Amino acid sequence: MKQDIFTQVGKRTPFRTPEWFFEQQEQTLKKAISSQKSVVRPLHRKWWYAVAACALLLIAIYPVMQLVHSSSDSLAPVPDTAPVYSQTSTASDDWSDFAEADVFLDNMNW
Amino acid sequence: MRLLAHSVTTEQLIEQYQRPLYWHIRRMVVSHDDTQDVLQETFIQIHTHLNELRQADSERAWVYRIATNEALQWLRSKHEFLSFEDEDASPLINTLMADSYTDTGDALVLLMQEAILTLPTMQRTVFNLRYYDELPYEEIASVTGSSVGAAKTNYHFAKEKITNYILAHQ
Repeated sequence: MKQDIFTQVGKRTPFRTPEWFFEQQEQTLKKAISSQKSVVRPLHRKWWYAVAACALLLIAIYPVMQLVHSSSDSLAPVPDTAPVYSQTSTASDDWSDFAEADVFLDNMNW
Repeated sequence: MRLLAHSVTTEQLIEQYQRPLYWHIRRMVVSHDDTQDVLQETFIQIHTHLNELRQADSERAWVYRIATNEALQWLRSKHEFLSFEDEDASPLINTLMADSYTDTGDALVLLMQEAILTLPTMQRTVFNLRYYDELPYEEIASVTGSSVGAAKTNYHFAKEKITNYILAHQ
């Protein structure tokens, strides 16, 4: 009886597909795969991308590193403060000379 | 004819396997529209992991394993089936009856498919792979991730249950 059922039915199934389904499906699948191809990259290419990214990063940070380096050089030697004070005193002397020479200031009764 | 692993392309695999994989997935997920989606996802997975084909023992077992996994993943997401051991077939039987591409003309053929859908997922997968696709037990074991002995046992129990179901519902 067991054999009868499987012999009777065989490999028939109730599943059907639309007409020309497989012919169209093959094209659909190939299109889906070709759209995936741009996304999937070989492993060696990924390595090259990583190396290129590192090189670009180094090029980008090089000017910044140079700036940092040069600014640290200028801060290193502390300049002598004496000339600065002497300049300041000279400037105040100039202002007092100017006040004494000014005509209008002389006329004012302070 | 088995294609050489190093020279095979996804396009060649599509030409060779799209029909058998469609029917394998269709017998698992039942609906024609859902089968199309799962089949497309299967070939995308095949394309993405094509390098792994070199390590596979059998090209056919490898593509069937991907298709089976995709179908099971779809069943889990759609019907919340948790594993190979789950037995709730009622959603699949409802889908079988409701699908516009189901031929309800032959009552015995329909009853046999209904009986297959009542099987636990593992038994159903093994039965389909052996009965319809005629895969050797070694390849079935590779597809399902089980042993050859387990595949034989599952097939034996599946045939028993199908027969009993048909006899009880005829």
